[in-house]
Amino acid sequence: MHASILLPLLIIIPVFFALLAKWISRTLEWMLIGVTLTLGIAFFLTFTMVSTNQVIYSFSRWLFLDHLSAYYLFMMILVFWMSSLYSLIYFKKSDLSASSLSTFSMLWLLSMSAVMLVLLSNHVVLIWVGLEATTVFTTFLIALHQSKKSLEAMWKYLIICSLGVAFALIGTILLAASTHGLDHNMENVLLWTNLKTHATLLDTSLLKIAFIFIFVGYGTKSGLAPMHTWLPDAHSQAPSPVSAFFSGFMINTGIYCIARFIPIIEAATKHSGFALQFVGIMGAISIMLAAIFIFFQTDLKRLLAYSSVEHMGIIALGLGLGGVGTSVALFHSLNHSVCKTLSFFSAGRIGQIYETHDMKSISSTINVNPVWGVGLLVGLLALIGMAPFSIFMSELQLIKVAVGTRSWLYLVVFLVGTSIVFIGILRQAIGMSFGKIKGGTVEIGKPVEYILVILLVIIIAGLGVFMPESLWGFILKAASVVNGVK
Amino acid sequence: MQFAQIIMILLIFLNFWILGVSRIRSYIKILSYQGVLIGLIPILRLNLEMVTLGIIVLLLKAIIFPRLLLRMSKKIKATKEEKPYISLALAPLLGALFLLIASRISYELMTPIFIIIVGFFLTITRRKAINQIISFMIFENGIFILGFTMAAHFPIIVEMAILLDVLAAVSVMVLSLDKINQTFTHTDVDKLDSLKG
Repeated sequence: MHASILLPLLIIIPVFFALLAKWISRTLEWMLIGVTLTLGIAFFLTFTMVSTNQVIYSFSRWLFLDHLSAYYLFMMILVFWMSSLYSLIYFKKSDLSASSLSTFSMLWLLSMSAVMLVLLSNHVVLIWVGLEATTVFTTFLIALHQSKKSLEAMWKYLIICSLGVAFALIGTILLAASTHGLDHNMENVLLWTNLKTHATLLDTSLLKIAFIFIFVGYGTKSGLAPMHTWLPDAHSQAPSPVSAFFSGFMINTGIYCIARFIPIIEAATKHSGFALQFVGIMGAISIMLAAIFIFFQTDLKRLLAYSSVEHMGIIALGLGLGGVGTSVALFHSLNHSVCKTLSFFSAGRIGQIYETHDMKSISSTINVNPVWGVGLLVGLLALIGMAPFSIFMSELQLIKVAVGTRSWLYLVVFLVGTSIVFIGILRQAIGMSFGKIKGGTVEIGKPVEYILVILLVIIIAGLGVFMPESLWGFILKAASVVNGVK
Repeated sequence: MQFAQIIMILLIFLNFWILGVSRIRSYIKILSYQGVLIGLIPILRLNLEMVTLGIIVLLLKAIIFPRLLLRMSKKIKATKEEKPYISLALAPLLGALFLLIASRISYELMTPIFIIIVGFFLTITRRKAINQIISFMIFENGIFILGFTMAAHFPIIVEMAILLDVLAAVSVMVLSLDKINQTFTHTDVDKLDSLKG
């Protein structure tokens, strides 16, 4: 019983600390306390949920924690806690005023609360409300520095994401309309759990149109091409802790929403593969488009941003393959989140050290700053799928699934796309890490920086070599929620 | 049902008007007329919940937000849409095409679909940032009517949540506009083009 009381706290505690942020000094430290407290409870709930195998409901079933949301919550705990810690390191070195820092803490906590709402809501509309709220709260985080470029990025983000997410609302309305065949109790028909059990009674032609709108809407938020245009601007202009949160977690929430709808559409259309094919093809388009932009990129943070588009494409492709592909996609989400967090952390600090993100002006990072230099190198090598790291494993599994299901088109697109990215990023990674020292102040780095980087590298390398039985079991259960198997 | 039909026809008429307007004052005025009509739709259902919802919609969409936008437009000294991407003479003609498309998609849902298409079209073709905000509100109004006619079983609290969320988004847009104006001394979206590739 106690678990269901704790569930709403994940949404409430961040809001409470956010309100506090305006009134106290040392806001960044308080923010970290708030985040740690919330994530501690989140960890406890995830652990309880997984060990007892019981879905936790709360707030008259409007909030819930099943295996899929628990899995995303688990990723959120990793990425968000580290990003919060990193923001302490990062902002200590920046020239932001105390009032902007308190604004940052407030918005950071509110965004956290909004993401929690997305992950925990069992209601189709509530999930939309949460996602729209993430847009609202994260907007000003992009333009903390108030430069012309960051304001431009902020405006594009706000308009494109608001329009995009409004499409998801149209889709949600169409979905609600497709339930007209159900003889229902008004309040509860739009809960995931109820939609899933009654999926066969839904109006399929309306539902198919609804899914297209929903995909466009939530796909905008997750940066899938061709709705990705806000992403490189926002990721490159936002302060690095924010970019890490965007790339490491926020865009995953969009995919999470799409993944929630897949089993309903599939069950309603009698497993015709309509939703799966649609998601898979859009994923393939994202991979190809991102690969081209990565190849000609000169700005480090934009490079990482397009790499996010590519990896979101890979995840969508995995979801589109269905079956084992879904578990591979979920595993890949975790790997991508951790790698991208490390890469953006390193890129941010290196950007501060060299005072530029132009990759031509950055060289010999390994010697200039060993901590973040190695961090960036490992991050980039992992992102392109170099062998001992975790992304290599999930990509290898994806290839196996594609061969196993004879999806040759997906396989070709995936191989060509990742090869282009491999060459494009590898030459930049080598150019930045080695060579002669051209600029930047040589620094050894603080112990906390070492701990952060070493921890992330251990996760990335560890998951590549060894897969804990319990984690894989967790992923399989989360995937079974998407695949619609009880 | 008679009243509801008159409202729908008036909404279509307002949309044609807004397509050809260049002065931002009139643009906001039409938005608030639209707000009044949209508030009336739930009020005409004549039950307590719906009347409350209608009054809140009316207050927010017909009075508070248009006023806020009007004050903002004075502050940033925006008076006219100079050159939209598609000319003001052509836009109403396109509007007729949109109406045809909307009626083809669904005759009963012609009005909301038409408003959604027009709102989307205006958002992507106007150059002034403030006009993008107004157009976005029109787009959202269309979705509101669509939701109201199609998804009658959204609980009232959900309708409220959607309304609040959208208004939060618009407020953030207005605040951002203020920030942009402070830094750039203009608010022409087509000049915000330094980020590429």
